[in-house]
Amino acid sequence: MSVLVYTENWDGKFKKLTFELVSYASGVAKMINTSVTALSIGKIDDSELKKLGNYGAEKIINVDNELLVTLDSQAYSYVISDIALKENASVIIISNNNTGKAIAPRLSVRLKAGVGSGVNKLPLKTSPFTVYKKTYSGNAYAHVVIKSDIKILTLAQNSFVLNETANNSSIENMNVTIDSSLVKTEIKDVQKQTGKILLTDAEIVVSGGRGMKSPDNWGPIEELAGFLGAATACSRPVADEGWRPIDEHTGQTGKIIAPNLYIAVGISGAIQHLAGISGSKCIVAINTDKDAPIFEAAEYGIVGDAFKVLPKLIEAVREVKS
Amino acid sequence: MIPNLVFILILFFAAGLFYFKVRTISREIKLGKPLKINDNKLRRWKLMAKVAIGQSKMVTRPIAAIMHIFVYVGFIIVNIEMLEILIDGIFGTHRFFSFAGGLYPVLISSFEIFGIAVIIGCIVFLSRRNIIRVKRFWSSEMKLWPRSDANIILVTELFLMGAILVMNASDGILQIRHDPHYAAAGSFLLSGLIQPLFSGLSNGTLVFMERFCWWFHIIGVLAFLNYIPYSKHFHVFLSFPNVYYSRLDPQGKMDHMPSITKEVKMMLSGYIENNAAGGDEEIGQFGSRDCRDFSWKVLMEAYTCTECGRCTSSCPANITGKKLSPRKIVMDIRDRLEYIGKNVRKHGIEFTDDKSLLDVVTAEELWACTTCNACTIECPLNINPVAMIIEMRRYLVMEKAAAPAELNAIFSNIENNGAPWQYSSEDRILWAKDIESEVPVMADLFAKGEKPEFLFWIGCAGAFDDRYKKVVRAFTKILTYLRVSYAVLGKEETCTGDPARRAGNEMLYQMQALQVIATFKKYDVTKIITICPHCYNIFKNEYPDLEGRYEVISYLQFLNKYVAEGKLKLDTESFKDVTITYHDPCYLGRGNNIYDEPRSVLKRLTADFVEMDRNKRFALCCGAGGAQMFKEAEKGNREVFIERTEDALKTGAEIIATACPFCMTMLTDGLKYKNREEERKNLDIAELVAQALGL
Repeated sequence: MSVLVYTENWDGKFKKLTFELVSYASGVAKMINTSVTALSIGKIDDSELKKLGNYGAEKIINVDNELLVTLDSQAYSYVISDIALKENASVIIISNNNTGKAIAPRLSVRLKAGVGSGVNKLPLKTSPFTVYKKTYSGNAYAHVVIKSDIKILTLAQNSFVLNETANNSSIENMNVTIDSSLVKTEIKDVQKQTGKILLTDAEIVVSGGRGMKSPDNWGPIEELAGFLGAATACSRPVADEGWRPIDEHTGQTGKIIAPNLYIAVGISGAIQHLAGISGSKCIVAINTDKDAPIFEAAEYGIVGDAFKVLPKLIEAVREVKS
Repeated sequence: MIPNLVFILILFFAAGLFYFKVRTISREIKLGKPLKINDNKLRRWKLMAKVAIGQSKMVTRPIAAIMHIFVYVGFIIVNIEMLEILIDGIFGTHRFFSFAGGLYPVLISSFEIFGIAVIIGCIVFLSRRNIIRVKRFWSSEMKLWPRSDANIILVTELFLMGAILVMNASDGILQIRHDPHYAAAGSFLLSGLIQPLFSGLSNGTLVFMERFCWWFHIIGVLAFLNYIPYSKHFHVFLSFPNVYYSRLDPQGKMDHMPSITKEVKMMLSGYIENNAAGGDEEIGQFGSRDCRDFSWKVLMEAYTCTECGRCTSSCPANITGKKLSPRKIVMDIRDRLEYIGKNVRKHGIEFTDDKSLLDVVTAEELWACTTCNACTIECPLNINPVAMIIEMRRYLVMEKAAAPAELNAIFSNIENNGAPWQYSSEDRILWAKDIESEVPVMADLFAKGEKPEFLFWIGCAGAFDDRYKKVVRAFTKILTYLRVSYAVLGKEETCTGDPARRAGNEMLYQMQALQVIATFKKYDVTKIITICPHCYNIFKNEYPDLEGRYEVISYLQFLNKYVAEGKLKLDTESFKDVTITYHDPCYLGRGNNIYDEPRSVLKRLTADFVEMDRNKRFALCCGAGGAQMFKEAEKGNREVFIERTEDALKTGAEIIATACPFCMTMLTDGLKYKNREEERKNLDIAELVAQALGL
């Protein structure tokens, strides 16, 4: 028996969410008195794999195969279910990101396993196996009982604290024979954005609206984002005017994000914008118009000129950081 | 004798050809699905008299209207002369009607006047198309045949009318010279003027000219008759039945889909009701993929279209450079139907090919429509391109699951959260924060055994859009001020299904609608006040198809009534010197003819009410209707809401009054784009009234 955690990597590197997953898996393993096996698919250095050990993985399995170069959810599900059976896993843990959402249902069918999706806390009980998750847009909590032998949990991002535990981990390279007909996708072209924190991954987002007046005024926003390790975003008019790249556009028809902290500068908060950020844990608004709808949605609001407020905010953050 | 025989032969040949072509077209129209239209006969005749015979919808563009009247009346009057020509031709008489004596020259002279009117009309039309190049005649679908078709018709009419004048002139000279075959019939007014041109010619030449023109005219007319069914000019016949069979419902109403009701009721209740509205008929395909999926009426509309392009020139999507052109859609249906018709004649009714209408009408065109109904209102012959577009959207969404991704997101939001935005229905009453005590909730009243007179329907925007919440609060204050007996549903409200329906997801719409109707039934709701025009339209016009019948009152009608009755005494000082303009929401204006109520309220507030250039039935859409609010616009030159904001700014008005949450989002955004949000305010009429009441 073991807890199997699928650890996704990006170009051979793990992200924070990977370590969250392993920490979480380690917590689950403790509850059922077993150990954590981490599974990584694709090319990756041992030094990177070893990091998983710091969060509680005892056994680290790497499956590399030329057919697995591309993330193909069907092929990957096949590999994960194969390893799960080999390792006699009773709980499988995956991220609730897009990859996890594509893989979990496929695994569920293959392994006849119940899925607890988007969980954000350790299971409440192990017998019966009961998990805890938010529902109704976060207004209620559900207790979900999973009755199948194998349980699949997908963990909501940014919801579990990293937990470092020294551990002696072993790395094992395994081979899984895959039928090439399983791989149905082929990557033709990759266009990468470099040097920036991805908006959808960011825990903190600093966002500017038309209240910034001109594309030349984005300095303070970028500076603040730099200090906070935040991604930058913008409202639709800003993207439309070409002040900011279109991939920063956040809202109903742009990116829908849910960071821990969303700082909206010079954004009035039209419903089409709020629809894309309302999942944020904390919204801070800076706006000159005290009647701007954004203040209704914000936890904290500063009525004032962004060009006066931002420098002070940056100064304060700089002091805290140093 | 021989000329008579030749004449009769030609006549029969031409009439026969015409009959067969018309029969072919009639059969093609009947390839459409059956649709029963036999209600309101008197109203339909009246409508036909007004719109088809009286051309009431032409007048909005005066030059084209006058010229069209010239050609139209000329065409009819000259046909009386045609009668004489027929009699002369068959019986070998000459100017049969001349027995009318002194009246005859008057008759012929008036024919000539109309003939000249036709010539003037044709020349103006030709120059509009070829010299001035009016934009709507030069759009992308107006190339090749459609362009030459119009020119062929106009030039032919010029020649035909010219022939009559030359004929009459030669005849007149021959009469004066006492030619035995040309008995004196009196002198003709206009052809008399060109007689001097021919006065030097011998009798023989004149006789030849007169005869030549006579034959040229009659053969020309018969050829023209047979040309018409191949041409956009067929509207001269089809306009009458097409207008007679017009949809009589308010423009905002969308056609019902009873075939889906049974499915939805099954889904909602888990069992089949015996008397479910759908009946037992086969469900078949949802929406339209090809011509034969439309009703015969739509196909008749396609053949009636005269390609004038008024629809396209008023379409907000087209105006802003998007690919959508309502005229192209109608023409595509007609062209495809001709093709199918030809193959059905060849291969039988079972004919199918691997193509469909959706190969010529692209998704990009279909999704650009805001369902603003400007095209439908503009069409002089009551063609309804919006209905065609919706039918095809229904096919894309319900058969192919091919809605744009953003719309799929709102579908799942509506299904899961009961609103197009992802907010919890638990939060629906948050707009009333701090004034809860003022806002009676239906369930609470019922628990106390009370029943309010009105249900005040908030709508999703009122519940969740922080800007629009303020409008709802303003109107609530007015209700409290008036001590109206009302209640809101609070957390029991859910989306009416409007955006889903307009995006082609009829199934989701009916699911929502049946839930709402059940809630209304629970509280015995009979009168509903709405603030959102989309909710108003759907309750008033579309829920009755699902047996939900209520008295639906727009808050504008409500405000206007109380203002007019003097129960709302507005402080005339508040906006006395403030210029106010008003943007008509499509679903109140064109959709439901509510034009006067908002204006009369606003005119009580300010002496300085100004109209935008495009107003009332010609108002430009804000760009958000038809579920456009929830998706990015298709590629074009610019955004509709910017175009509309410019209309508003041009008036110089300090306040742009709106009456719809979507319009408000769009125009407020527009003001920001234009960097004018400091000096120009976009406020809802409810907010203005509340302010003027000091609330």
